[in-house]
Amino acid sequence: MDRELHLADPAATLALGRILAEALAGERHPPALLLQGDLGAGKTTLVRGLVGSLPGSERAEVSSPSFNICNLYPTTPPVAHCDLYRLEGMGPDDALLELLEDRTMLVVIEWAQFLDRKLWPDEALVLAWFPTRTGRGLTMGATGRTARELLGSLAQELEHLSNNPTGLQ
Amino acid sequence: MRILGIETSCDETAVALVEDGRLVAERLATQIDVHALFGGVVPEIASREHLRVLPRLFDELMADTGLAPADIDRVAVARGPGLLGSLLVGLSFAKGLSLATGAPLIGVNHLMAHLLAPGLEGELRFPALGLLVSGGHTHIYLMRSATDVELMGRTLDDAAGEAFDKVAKLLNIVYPGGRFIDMLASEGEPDTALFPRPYVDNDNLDFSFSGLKTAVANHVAAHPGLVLDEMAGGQGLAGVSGARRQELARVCASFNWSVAQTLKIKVERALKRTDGVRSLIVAGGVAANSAVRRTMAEVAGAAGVELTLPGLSLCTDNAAMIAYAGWLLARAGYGHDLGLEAVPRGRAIPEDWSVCGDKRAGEC
Repeated sequence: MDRELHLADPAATLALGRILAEALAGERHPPALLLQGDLGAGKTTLVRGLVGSLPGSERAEVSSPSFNICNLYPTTPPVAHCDLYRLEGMGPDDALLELLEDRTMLVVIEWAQFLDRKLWPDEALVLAWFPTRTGRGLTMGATGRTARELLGSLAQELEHLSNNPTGLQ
Repeated sequence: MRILGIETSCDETAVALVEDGRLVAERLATQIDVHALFGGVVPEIASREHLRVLPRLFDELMADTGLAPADIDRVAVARGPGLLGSLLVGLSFAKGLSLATGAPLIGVNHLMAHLLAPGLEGELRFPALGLLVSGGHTHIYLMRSATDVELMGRTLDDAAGEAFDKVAKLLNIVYPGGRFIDMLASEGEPDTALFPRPYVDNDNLDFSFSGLKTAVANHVAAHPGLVLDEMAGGQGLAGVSGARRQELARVCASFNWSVAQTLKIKVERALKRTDGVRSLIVAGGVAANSAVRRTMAEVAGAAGVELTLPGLSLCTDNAAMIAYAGWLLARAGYGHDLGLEAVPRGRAIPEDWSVCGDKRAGEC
């Protein structure tokens, strides 16, 4: 079932990244993360929180991949951080299609709204930002069994984060 | 010593020959036209283009110089960061050449090559503070020498150049839009209260330009009249005039100011935390921005250090800087074996050189 979240500030967005990292680090074949949000929603900030909490993050240099489509971080599991911003109206190339099916990596896609629904991985968590007056609002949905169970297991933590104005807890 | 440099990190394919620290010849093919259709580099297309033109450029370089492959003493190649597929084209070519001619291989950190490039035009003064500002990076380094470099600060999200590209896109200006923002900015006065200087109220040397990008996005959303009716480059912008052009100029000047001032605050902070720095080296594509150049000249002047800015042709990707950095490494006795790996963007480039004479580095 989709879950609605309110993130008060960038610290809460980072905290959501950490929560996802803890949940995904334990998965042998982690579901992909599909991020759908406008410029400035906090997608890269979320990935910074996520990658910063994974083992091996001290050797990772997180930054927006808009410039070169995909960054690869040497974490456990390894993270492919991709960005479809510049591919608006154009399909992903072969290299990206291969990555989408790579279950040995945690694949994170920014601007997933530009990815045809038919190309979505079987297992994915889908985060969609929506406009709010303050902070950031987003819905989290899941496709595939592993992803659904994972989202269900996070219910309490997400509830707590959503109601916590500083995001620091 | 003759060094061949090979560059295929992103959307420029280039080869160059440096002899004893001086540029002898270079050949470069840019893919900008190929990618402009897509608003930026498409990795798969970039790899195929590198593969198509690299061997030809190498042949042309040999013809230009009248040299044969056997005359090359070292093969230097950009090994990252960059697009993995593109880097692999250059790396495979370099390894093949190294194997065929016996010239030892040297993997070059593309970012270091940018910072060291001004050495082709004048003397580098160490220790130096290096500011690398490009589409993919905003890094501050302490450079004790050409081979002893420490990362002091870096971007946590968007690079400065990316903020330029995204603001250009918000305004419906063609990619890469940084120079058009700079052009419009030169016609207006910055409103210093319009946009924040992002991520400066802290004690570190890192950058975060995403907040500035968001501030511009919010401003443009509230003033939709700023957005050009049709996507425009130099020609299209020439047709924009009157109050609208003035307002665009004011917004661009304010954005330019915020970026330059943010860089200034962190670079000044870095200068305070280092001892005996003799020069400030500013490199990368955004080093071509007039506000950045002007502001960094002020910073260097106030700190009493020399400002080193590469010529504009060295700001963009090129192979002369790869060959030159390779020469500095070779001179210091460093090299790589054929196990040299490409490093995609997302992790630091290891300093895994071997000292020549090692088993691993072979004869060099």
